[in-house]
Amino acid sequence: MGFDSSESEQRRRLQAALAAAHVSAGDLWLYYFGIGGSVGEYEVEAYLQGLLSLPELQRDLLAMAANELSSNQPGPRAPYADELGPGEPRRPEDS
Amino acid sequence: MIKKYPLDELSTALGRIMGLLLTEEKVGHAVQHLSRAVKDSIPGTLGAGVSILDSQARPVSSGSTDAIVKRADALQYELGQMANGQAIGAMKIYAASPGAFEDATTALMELFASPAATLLSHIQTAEIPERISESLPSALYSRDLINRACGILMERLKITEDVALQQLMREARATRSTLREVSATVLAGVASGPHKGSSDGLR
Repeated sequence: MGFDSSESEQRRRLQAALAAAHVSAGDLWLYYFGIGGSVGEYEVEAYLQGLLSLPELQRDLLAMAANELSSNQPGPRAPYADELGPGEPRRPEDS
Repeated sequence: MIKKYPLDELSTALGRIMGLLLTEEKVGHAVQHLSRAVKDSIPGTLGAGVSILDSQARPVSSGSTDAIVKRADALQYELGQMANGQAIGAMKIYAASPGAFEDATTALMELFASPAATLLSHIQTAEIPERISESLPSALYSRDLINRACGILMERLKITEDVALQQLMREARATRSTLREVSATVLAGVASGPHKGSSDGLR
């Protein structure tokens, strides 16, 4: 199971945004679910810990959830996949 | 200490709605009956009580057979005589004279410990849905709104669900609004659209 480099960067910066805004994984998941996210809470926690790879759309929805949750606070934003540098076109070719 | 299961929040909430989890009231009732059963089964018992403790070892729910048990309990808590550590509940029997209970009594008490622990685990997990009861309806409403907006875009642009969601996300980022606001705009556009009620081929 491969992680492309932009996925780990996206995850790392999502974690930084969550930590700065004091948003818990549970709150993130519920908000993400509320904007149409389709992955369960366990999977989201596993993704945050770097144990699971998620499709780009779900990663972007998590980033959007984090940004909407912390929109009235200063601090780092969570980036979207298309904002990250190249090096990601090699998609994981696993099943 | 009862392990706090990291249950999927939605399934816990649904479990509560469907009556699969006990409310504090029901547990209180069951605890009361349990005290009664303990007292009746153990000879020489003056009174019995079962308490559920919170994480700071304060009683949150308890049942007792007699007023004297409440009094004795209160004294014990004041004196800090309760067992320390990771206790989540306590089952007590009181006798009028010292040394009234024998070793067999301990074994009998242990039999009651199992149903008591089951009650405890239920009331612990029942706290979770209360915590999210305010945010869940809002999350469901918003998810529904966004899904409807996706459906409209899918039909209008002949695109898949994922592409429709990506389109809404792009729009939200470009206009610095939330996904919910962008979706509401799409829905409002349909309600006041020019095609309303005429030549839609449905009549």
